[in-house]
Amino acid sequence: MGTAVLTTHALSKTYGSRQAVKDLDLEVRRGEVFGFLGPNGAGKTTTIRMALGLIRPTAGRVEILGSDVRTSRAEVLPRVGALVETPALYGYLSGRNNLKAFAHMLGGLPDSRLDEVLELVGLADRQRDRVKSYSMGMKGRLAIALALLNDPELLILDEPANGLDPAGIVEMRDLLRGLAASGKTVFISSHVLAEVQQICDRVAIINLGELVRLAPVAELVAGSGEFVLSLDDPRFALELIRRQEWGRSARIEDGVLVAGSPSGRGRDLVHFLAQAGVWADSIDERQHSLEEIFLSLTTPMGAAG
Amino acid sequence: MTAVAEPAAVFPARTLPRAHPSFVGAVRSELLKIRRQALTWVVLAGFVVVCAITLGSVISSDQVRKLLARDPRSFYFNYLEGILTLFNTMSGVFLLIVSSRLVSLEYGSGTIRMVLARGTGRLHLLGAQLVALAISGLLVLAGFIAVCAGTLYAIVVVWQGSFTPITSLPQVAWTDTWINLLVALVSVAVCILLGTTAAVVGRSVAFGVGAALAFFPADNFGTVVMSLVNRLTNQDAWRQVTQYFLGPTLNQLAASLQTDHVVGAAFATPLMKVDATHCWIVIGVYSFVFLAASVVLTWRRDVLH
Repeated sequence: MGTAVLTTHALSKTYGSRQAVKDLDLEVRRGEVFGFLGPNGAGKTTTIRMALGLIRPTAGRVEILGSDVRTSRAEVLPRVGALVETPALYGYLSGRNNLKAFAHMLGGLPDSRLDEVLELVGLADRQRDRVKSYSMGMKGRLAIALALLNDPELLILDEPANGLDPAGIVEMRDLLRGLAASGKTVFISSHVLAEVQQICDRVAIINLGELVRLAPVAELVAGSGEFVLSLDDPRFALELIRRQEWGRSARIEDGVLVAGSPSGRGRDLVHFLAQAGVWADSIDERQHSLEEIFLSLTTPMGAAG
Repeated sequence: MTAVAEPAAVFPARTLPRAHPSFVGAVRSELLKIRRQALTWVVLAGFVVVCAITLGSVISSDQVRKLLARDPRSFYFNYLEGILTLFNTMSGVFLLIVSSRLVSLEYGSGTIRMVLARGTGRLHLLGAQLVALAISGLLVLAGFIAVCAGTLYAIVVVWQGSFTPITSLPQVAWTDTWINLLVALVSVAVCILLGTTAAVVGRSVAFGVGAALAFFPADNFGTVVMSLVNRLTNQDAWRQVTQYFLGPTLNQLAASLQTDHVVGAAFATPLMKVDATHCWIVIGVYSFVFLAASVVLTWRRDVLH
């Protein structure tokens, strides 16, 4: 298990009578890609703003790289690359001058570093153009370049896929994987759950300001002991299985058979059907999607069900 | 985005300088932003045009030429008075627009959260903005002095054959020159503080620029209103209150400091006699309030933009 890079301790934020974040405890470990999920208004952005020192917690604290953000922000935050909500850029400056403005703020960086990050996000050809002429996707990429500018140890990205086209989303995923592979820690808040499922090691799901689940993605989506089988005649197979003690919950979903197994292993189910002369075209362990998990934890119907 | 499959391409092996918020860097960054805003140059061009028209009217005036021949001292004082009014008015407009825009754009475009998220402190940024604006104001003043001094030298030499009529002026003329320079510097400082405060209070470009530009016309016109109310009500309090108006007090400052000759003011002055000490106290209190409001509001308020 890696060391903690970002930790929140009983973090809370109240606006008037509304509690936006309530006693939130998180720990993001070095080198992991950590997903931070929640419906709109769940408190994700408020948490990120507190982590970056933009708003003051009502209670609790945030530690980044072992130091309290409020007392050590000048030492800690330059080691963090951040993208908070929509890309905020100086529209009247060129892409390159946007980077230069931030490089100055951080004590200066070699021009070659600006070239590298511009090349990395594919904006080298448009670096002299004013940012106000950029598309939403290009602005998103420039914001990523800004976040990467000084080789941060931790990246905090709030909805980085906003405004990106499908190809851009795939490239973003590759970039984040590349970052994780190079030892960076990535904390990502996103609504694109399929992407999160693919790139994150662990996720925290919050709802109404409270943590409702924190677990490895693999654990969340792990199989339930059921299998999905493609068959020529699923109804016949269903009747066979339902007669068994272990097969009472078998059913047909979207034309495929979903069933348990005599031993919990798929090959024993295939063997059982084969003995009855039924041959499966394919068999897969049934997994939950992150979307299903997310909805079950964050919607009243899901929670009730 | 371009291919990002290789993590090594994201973060090259060489080490980047350790990032740390730099005050000098922040000032450079703010100067870059001022320099790259088209409106900065548009307003400055307007300043240059008005200067050219004003100085052109001086050069082409037969009356001014006769005054120089007859009474070089009066000519010089009139020239000083004219250029001080010109500078205070035009540099005021320039600095109010530039300062309110520089600060409010940071909130309006949301870039404030990017800046703060990299470890730059709120007051660190405000300080850098004030220093960058002061540098801009001093550069404008230096340019203005160079143009006015050059024009003065040219017209005196052309009309009188040498610069002796000016160099032979009594010491008081040079003392008053320094007083005018001091008043110009005070005007620069007050305009920067006013523009900054309006932007910090409103946190929007429209409010910041609007409030900053409306302040001086409002309190100059307020003097006229107070005069009318005083006549209607016969209450002296309406007249007395004008001695605490900032604009009229600034307009009166040069006259209150130059006691060797009568100095007129192009705009409203307090409706009762005020001395230099009173002017300094009023201007000092306003400046302190502007600075304190900017500092406290910047420091205490959450960044929700």
